[in-house]
Amino acid sequence: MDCAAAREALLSIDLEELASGGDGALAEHLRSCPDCAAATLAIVAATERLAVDLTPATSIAMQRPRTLPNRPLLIRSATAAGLVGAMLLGARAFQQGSTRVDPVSAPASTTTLPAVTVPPGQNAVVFRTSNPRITVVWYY
Amino acid sequence: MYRGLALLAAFCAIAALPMQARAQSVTLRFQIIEADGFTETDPAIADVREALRELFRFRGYRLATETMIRVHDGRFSQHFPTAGEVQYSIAAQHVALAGEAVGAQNVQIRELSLYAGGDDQILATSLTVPVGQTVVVGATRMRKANAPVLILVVRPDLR
Repeated sequence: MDCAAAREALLSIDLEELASGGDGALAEHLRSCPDCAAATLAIVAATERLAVDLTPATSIAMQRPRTLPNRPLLIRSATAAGLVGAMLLGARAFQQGSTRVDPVSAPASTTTLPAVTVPPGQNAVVFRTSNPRITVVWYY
Repeated sequence: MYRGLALLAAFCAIAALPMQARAQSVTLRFQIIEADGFTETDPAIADVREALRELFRFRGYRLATETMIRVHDGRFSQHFPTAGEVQYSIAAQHVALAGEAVGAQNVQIRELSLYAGGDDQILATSLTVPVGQTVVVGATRMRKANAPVLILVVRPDLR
């Protein structure tokens, strides 16, 4: 597994598994790549900071991401009453060195859902709420 | 006399504009909400408060200040009415309306920045918001010691 594949995997892996380094090819890569290992720690730390503000139900919902064919990730939880879903955007905290990555954004122009562009170096989670007219974007 | 004629001319000019051109005037309502430690229930943010309560642990929310901006030339910069000791201002470098179909139009707000106490930038983002939708933007990083978490509510409309 190369760094690009590893970082794709990092965006969709179960966070508990991420905290423990994952398994298989990803774990092997993380053991041999300091940059991706640092990225892993950054994602876990950032998510833990976010979890401080979240309700327990929402926090649980974030621990169980489901990968969509394309980013961003969509998280759904039956345990979070009223929480329709959430999208993780960015996970840019792990960018290292001089590699420049364009900001990540959710598709917007053809949908009726709001979208946010996440600048490099920041993470955001987008929550759809039980109110179909309200979307919450949280940077962390 | 001349003032009356000028007003009449202005009215006729506006009335002559195509409906689509007039519909592209974007109005943005911004609200700054402080989170945690507030028990009052402000009806102006009742819908947002309910949505936030689903997601976050904060014990309460208060509307600190709000402003309405009518965007004329694709950008804006404006101060909020003073809220307590802090002066907030907001600016965006590019605001545009996208989408042709009525009811499916998006307002694009690029390089949106929120400032507190002068030039202290506390939020920078770009948003695309369907008309009629509300986007609530917050950040863990906005939090400072002994300061409430700040949340920005964005409500676009067409006038």
